[in-house]
Amino acid sequence: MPFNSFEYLFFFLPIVWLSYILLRRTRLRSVVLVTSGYVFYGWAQPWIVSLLFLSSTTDFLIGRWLDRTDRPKTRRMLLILSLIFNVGLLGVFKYSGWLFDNFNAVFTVLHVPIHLPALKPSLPPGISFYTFQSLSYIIDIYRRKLHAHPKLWEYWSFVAFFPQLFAGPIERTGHLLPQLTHPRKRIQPRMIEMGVFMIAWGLFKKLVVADNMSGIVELCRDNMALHGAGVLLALAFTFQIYADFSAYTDIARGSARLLGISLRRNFMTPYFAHNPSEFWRRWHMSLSTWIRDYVYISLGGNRYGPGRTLFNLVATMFLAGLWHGAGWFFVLWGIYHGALLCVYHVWPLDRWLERAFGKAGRVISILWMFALVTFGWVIFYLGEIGHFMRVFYPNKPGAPFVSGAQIAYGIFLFGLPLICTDWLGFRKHREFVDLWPHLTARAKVLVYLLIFYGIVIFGARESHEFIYFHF
Amino acid sequence: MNSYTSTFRAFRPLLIALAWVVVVEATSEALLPADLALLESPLLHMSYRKPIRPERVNTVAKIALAERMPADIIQVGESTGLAGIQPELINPALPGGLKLLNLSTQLPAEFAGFQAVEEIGLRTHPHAGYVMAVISPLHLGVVTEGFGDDIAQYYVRFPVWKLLSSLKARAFIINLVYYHALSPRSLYTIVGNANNGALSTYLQDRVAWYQHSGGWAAISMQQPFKPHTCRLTYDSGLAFDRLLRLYATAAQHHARLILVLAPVRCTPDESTTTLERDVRRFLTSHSDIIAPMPLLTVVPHEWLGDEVHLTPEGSAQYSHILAEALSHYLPAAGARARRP
Repeated sequence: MPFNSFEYLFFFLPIVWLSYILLRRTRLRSVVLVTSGYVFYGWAQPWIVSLLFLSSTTDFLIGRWLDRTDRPKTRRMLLILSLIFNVGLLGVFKYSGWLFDNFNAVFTVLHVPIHLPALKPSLPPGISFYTFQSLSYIIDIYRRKLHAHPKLWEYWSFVAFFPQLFAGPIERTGHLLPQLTHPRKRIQPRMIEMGVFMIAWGLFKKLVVADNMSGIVELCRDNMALHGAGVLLALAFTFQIYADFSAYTDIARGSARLLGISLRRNFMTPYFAHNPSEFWRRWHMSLSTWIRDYVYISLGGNRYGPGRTLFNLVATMFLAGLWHGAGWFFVLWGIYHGALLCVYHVWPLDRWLERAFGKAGRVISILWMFALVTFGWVIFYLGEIGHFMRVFYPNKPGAPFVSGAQIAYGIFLFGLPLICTDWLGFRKHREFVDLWPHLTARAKVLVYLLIFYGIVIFGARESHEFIYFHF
Repeated sequence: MNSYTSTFRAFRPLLIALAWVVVVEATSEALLPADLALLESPLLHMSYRKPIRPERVNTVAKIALAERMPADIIQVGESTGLAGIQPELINPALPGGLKLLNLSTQLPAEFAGFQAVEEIGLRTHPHAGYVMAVISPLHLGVVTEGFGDDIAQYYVRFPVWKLLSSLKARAFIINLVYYHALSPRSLYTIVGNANNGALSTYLQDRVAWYQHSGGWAAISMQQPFKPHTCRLTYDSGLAFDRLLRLYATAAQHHARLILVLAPVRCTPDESTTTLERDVRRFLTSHSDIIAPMPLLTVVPHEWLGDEVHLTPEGSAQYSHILAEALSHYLPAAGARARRP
């Protein structure tokens, strides 16, 4: 069920909120959360609930067994079993078709008379998110950082917690599960009001910024004959993906806050980063910290010399790219970011710029980093579209009915609210939503009205799925 | 007491904002001209610098027509019905002064959209006793893509959108911000409409014409016709499901379904035989459906402007035939004597 649907906003959320508020001090709260999670997840395709159920139940059982045993061999075997199960789930539904296609291509080149069947399983939305969430639970138990949770219903509610089910934030057990098992005695009105604002702000970003930017991306793609259309497409997509994904996160965090639950932050003004590592500390933070903790550090991090560190950086980002989708462009996007991390690790350009030009150097480093990230999004966009030629050599001859200036004006028009609010947040070393409690009542009224009428007047009427649902 | 105070304090900005929304909406209701109400429709997406599809504009006009004209028989379907059935010619021949209203839209409105229009028609005319589905056999079992869900969402499931009067100003503001900001020349482009830039005029003209014609309109046809066999790409399950949905909606409102498969110009072949067999089976299993015309009607070539659409002259001829057929099936007081 999409967050930007009437069903979610006017039926599902109020019903779940009311049920949870009434039952949260009883044992039935887990039933409310599990049921709501399963209804939310299986709204369009009920069968995918079985995967969620299977994944969470298997990891719950493995976790219990892992916690009980002290034999290193058994523990390792159980960890491997969970890894095989979770990665296998991803492999079957996300990567099998792509892998088989690639194997077939290799077999053809090598004249091997084998042809694997062309698999095209439909990708259950959000599978990469809850699989990683469940996997972190098992790894933490294996590392003795955590004890297995004793109650199945509560564990189910942790994996199936609806706000973050489709596109994160990827929660850690230690952060979310205690909030579900020991709910607050009283949900502060300010927390609920903050939740309402976050939902409203997320809807604005999705309907006004992301969906209109999506239209501009299509305009660019349909008018590739225009001078500079490639650059404009890259810029529009850069804003679209950020607005789209951060909108999802804001609505998710806002919805959770209505229930008195605080979800992790996922973004922190990422386009104001000075260097690649800072960008990854600000962009999709729940994934980047997951990958840092469970992949980069497991590979040795920076403990085995500079050469190994660089290798680890590229290998980690390769996996991050692959996590986003089964396609070579996603892999390339990951490797590109790995390479950026390596270059800045060896030669920290931002520090050099700051030393050389002071404050202006800092601004230049932000703009340069923005340009590098934007170029990365072109690779990512090609991964989304699936084909380089389809974008840059479209079948249709260009018959522009818009000019480059008009497209640029559109990007400015819809990108401006995002840039301005992020800049406000960046100045205070926070996100824009964090400034909300500090606003005066009058300013809040004005913001609410701008959001409401912004959506009513400028909100895109053609519905678009959240991009990160695909992952 | 403190708890109530803190709760009120926390929600005060939200409540004040809601109060302002009420004030703005009341003001726009009072001040904005009523003839702009058509532009409230969320179906007119008005995306940045993207042309508005005429099918959307047409659907808005048809929905407005449903609210303005009386009807005992509500016609739904795609453009074969829009261009093929002339209520003006049919109504005088119908028994008991029954009135047919042509609410057929176009294929991009999809079958979900036809069903939604059917629902809207039956809601606005609770006494209508019949729904006439006019669909080309070439489209019945073919997958289509369009905005059918939008019609259902905005007009059937959540008609609350219509309550916002400020939406009347949307076209004006969008015009100002999207178009006038860079150049004074305008405006929205409606594909295929020479009168670009005057959406409200275009819509009003469209509604006025439909009010005059009972929902019929000629459509432009440019495809040269080459004689061939029908060769339908046809999904039997899909066709059955679509008919069933139209039937269920009619039944829900105690109305009977009349099924008319629009005439074709191609030569019947094996695929049309399959279709005929399937539709006949459907009609047998739902014996209360009226099928006044032969399931596959092949009309003289000159009646059709392209493969499926009747020319104005052809549609006049066909309307007379259909009126004659309908008059045999509809009892004098039948339409108002609704299903139990």
